[in-house]
Amino acid sequence: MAVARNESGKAVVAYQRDFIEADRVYVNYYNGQNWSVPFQVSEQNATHPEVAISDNGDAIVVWAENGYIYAKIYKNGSWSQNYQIAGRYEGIDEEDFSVAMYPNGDAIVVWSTGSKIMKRIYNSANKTWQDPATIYSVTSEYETVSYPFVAIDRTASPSPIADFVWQHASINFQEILFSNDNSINPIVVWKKDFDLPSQIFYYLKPTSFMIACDVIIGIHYMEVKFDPPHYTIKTQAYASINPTGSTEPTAISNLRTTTASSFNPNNIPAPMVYPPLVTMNNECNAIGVWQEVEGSGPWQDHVWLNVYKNDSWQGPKRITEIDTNNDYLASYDP
Amino acid sequence: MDFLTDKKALLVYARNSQSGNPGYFATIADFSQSFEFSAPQKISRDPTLILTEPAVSKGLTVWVDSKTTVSQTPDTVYGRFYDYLQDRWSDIVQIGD
Repeated sequence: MAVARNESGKAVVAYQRDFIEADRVYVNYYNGQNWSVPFQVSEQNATHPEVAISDNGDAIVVWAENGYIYAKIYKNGSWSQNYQIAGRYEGIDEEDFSVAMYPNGDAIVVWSTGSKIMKRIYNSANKTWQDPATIYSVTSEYETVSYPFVAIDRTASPSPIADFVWQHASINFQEILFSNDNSINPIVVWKKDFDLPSQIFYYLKPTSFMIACDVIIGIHYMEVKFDPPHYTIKTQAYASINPTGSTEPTAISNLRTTTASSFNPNNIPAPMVYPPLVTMNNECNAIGVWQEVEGSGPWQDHVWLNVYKNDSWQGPKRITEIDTNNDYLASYDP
Repeated sequence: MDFLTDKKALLVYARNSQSGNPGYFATIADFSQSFEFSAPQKISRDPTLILTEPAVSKGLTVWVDSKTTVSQTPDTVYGRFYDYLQDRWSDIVQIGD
């Protein structure tokens, strides 16, 4: 499910409904006073919708459909025809794309082909899509790129620009790469992995990306350390201000450590934290939020946040209350 | 999680409790003072039947719930607007079919 709303109150919501014959994506537009009726964007097997909206109320929905990426533009009260952004022949991962909209109604879609991060820009003035362009390309067959995310830096001068982050991995490293022209104060949070046995590795993949909000860039990574032979797990959320500069990453969550002899490395580790999310305002204040498993069994899921203000993190605080019934679960989405 | 203004942010999450009060909850983080946030408030109806991850943008919060209390009924999307100027939530609106 995805939602985007602009300053004038107009909004677009897209969601996936699962039917026996096919998964379908629906979209609803809110003009500031009334909701449209649900609009089905595709008859095919459509999933993973993402949305964005401009200052003037133009909107875009992007979704995956049978290995392809499609887009549909809302302008002047009606939706355009479906437009194929990228095809299966390019090695698309169906969840590997992101969309953002400039204030004037231009839009940008980024996706990964596994070896390249690609972008495509929609020109709202002449209602055309530019040809696909490469943002980044790996240099060897052992490298991969994935999870691209795009956000619009509205404060950039003389005009808003797009920022991109994505994951870059090879046999012996994983890193977050960042690309922009002249962004001012982006923030990136991530999950950092090291010393991991392979059976836990795939659990640690980031699974979702955040919605753009002013000066913001985000990718969801956090640290999970597995330290054999002691079977000790340490989990911590990290953040870095201005990742293009020299600022060292700073832990924003409590470090949680457990030494559990009963721990099975083939199962999901706990205590642990889930991928953190972050948002930033124009004053460079930021809030990081994450979900954390607590206790020594039975475990409880709780939502934590930390605020970056006056050039420092103010300290993690738990939002949710301890449930004495020990059946408490919480989850969040930005 | 979403900034409403430069001083306030809205965080929404799903809470699932077998014996408690499951539903979608919201809290307001306030930057104007020190590090503060309001007590979580349930924003979905009673009872909330379907719990997934909610989404929020500039005060508009959307989530999935079931149409009725009868099992096997289709789930659909509901939404609610938060007016930060008046610190007030709108009525719950059904967005999906």
